[in-house]
Amino acid sequence: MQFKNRIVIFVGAFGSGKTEIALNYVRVLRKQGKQVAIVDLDIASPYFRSRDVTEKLTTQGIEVIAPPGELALADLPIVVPRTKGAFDDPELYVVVDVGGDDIGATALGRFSDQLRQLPHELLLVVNTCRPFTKDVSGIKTMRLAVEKAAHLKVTGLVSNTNLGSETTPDIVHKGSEIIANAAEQMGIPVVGAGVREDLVLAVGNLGVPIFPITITLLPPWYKSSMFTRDRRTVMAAQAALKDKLQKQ
Amino acid sequence: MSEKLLMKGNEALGEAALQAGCQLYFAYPITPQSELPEYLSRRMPELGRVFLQAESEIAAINMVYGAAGAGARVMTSSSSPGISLKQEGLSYIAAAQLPCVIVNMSRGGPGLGSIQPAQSDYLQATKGGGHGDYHLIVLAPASAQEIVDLTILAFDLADQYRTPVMIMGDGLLGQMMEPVLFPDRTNVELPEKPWATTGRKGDRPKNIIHSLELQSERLEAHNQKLQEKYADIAATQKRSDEYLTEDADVVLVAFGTVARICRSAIDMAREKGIKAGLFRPISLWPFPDEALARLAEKERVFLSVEMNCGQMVDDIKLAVDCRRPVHFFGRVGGIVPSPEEVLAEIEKIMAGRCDA
Repeated sequence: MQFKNRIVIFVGAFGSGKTEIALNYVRVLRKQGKQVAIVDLDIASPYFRSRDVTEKLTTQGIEVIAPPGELALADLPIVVPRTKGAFDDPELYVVVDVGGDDIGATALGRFSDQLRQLPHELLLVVNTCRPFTKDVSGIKTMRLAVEKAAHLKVTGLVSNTNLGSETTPDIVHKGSEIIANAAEQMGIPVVGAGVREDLVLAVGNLGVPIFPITITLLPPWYKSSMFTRDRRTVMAAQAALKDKLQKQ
Repeated sequence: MSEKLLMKGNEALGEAALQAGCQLYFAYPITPQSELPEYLSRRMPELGRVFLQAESEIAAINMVYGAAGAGARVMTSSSSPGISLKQEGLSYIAAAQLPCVIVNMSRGGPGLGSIQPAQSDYLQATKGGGHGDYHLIVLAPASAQEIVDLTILAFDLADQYRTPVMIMGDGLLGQMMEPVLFPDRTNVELPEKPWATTGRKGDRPKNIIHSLELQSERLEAHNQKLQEKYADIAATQKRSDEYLTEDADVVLVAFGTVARICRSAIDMAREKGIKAGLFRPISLWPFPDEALARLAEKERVFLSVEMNCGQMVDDIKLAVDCRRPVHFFGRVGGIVPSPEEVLAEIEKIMAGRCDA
């Protein structure tokens, strides 16, 4: 999953996986040597936001545009002025992690006049295991609500169906079908599918480019022991994937 | 709903309340539980039920008082400072013996504190909070699925005992996403509520909901009746869970989110050859003291791990009757302890024990 447009904006329902996809995408861009900024425009969720990993991203050379200092931890709808400047910088690749639902997309609406003048991708991230985007009609409703709040048009869908730790290839395929259906009915392309990296091989072909996802924001108990229990399987899957990519 | 969904704890709680037959919800928004009113504000109008954002937490709890008096299944939710505001109403509701469910997705205190997770409302929830001799049943889930199961149970217990039941979570539990499955709840029969103010149509004596008893003898009798009820609840509704306690030399005691962290720490300790186990209170009131006392029969040490300054320690000491050492490790201010630092604490205690 790679876009020629310098500005890529991820929108979608609460908990659809926008942040994880955005975090992985900025890392891909950075590895290609590009100058990258991630805008944390999430004014809706108090936890599990891009800004939680600011330090890590900054050391990787990625600029994090988010409320500064203590304000990052406040439940206040703060939009940072630097955002506008970043959009206008022709050398900078800007990835925007927008808050959930139409409520989150409202913050993006503030930049709609500027963004309409700039080539960009506005991608609706969809997880069909989430309660309000389970089916085609739910996805359509979400798209309209987000577009209305953002004053911008969705240019593509990102399939990101998962059931957290209980994701199976079958779940991914079923979700992918529903999303393809919705995309066809709306006349919008599915531009790619986010799949947890250890599941990429097992999932196989989805008919759209697969974007392997490393999960970053986890509760503390998943970060160590409970996670290590199946770390060997995860590592084996990662190694197999690397092998396969090298052969290509 | 027969398929599994990926839900935030707050959303799962909302859906569980709806499945349990919650007809009315009154609340005022506060981080980190606002996904719950957000979710219900969408779903309740779809189902023709009442969602109302009150003008304050105090108004919301008094709306709950009214709706519960009329016999409806009703819920309110908030986070720490908002729960403090509800305490007077809770005392009235407990006194008037009305069933309802209150949710506290607690955050760092005291005062306005922070919006990060904490467990520092343990004493408020379990020892009163409001005035007078009353108790809430307090249930502490540790996963999104358990939120679903305990929320449904909360409504049932509230009706069974005509008493307010609190779901005690924390911000992290409310915000994180996990797979959940909702039980099939078709054809559930709700208990009759002959005491409710439903309009008497001339065929029964008047029902009056009140907490005022001016005559001392009557108020004392009422208190005795409440105490009998609490004794009944304490005898039958203690709930807890154990993990690797059988051979454990050190038993960690933790509830909610922290219990999950402790499980990770215990796995790490076991890999290092330290026999650690976990005792997890699920009902914070009534506190599962008998199960804990059984663990204290064997020579071992206890370590309470909490996101507060040690509020549960006294309950543990009482339960083990001071027969065994009870240590404490906690983080506050919204900091969630890591499995590594809990492990370090276990190692420290075990090292000290060998020295002794």
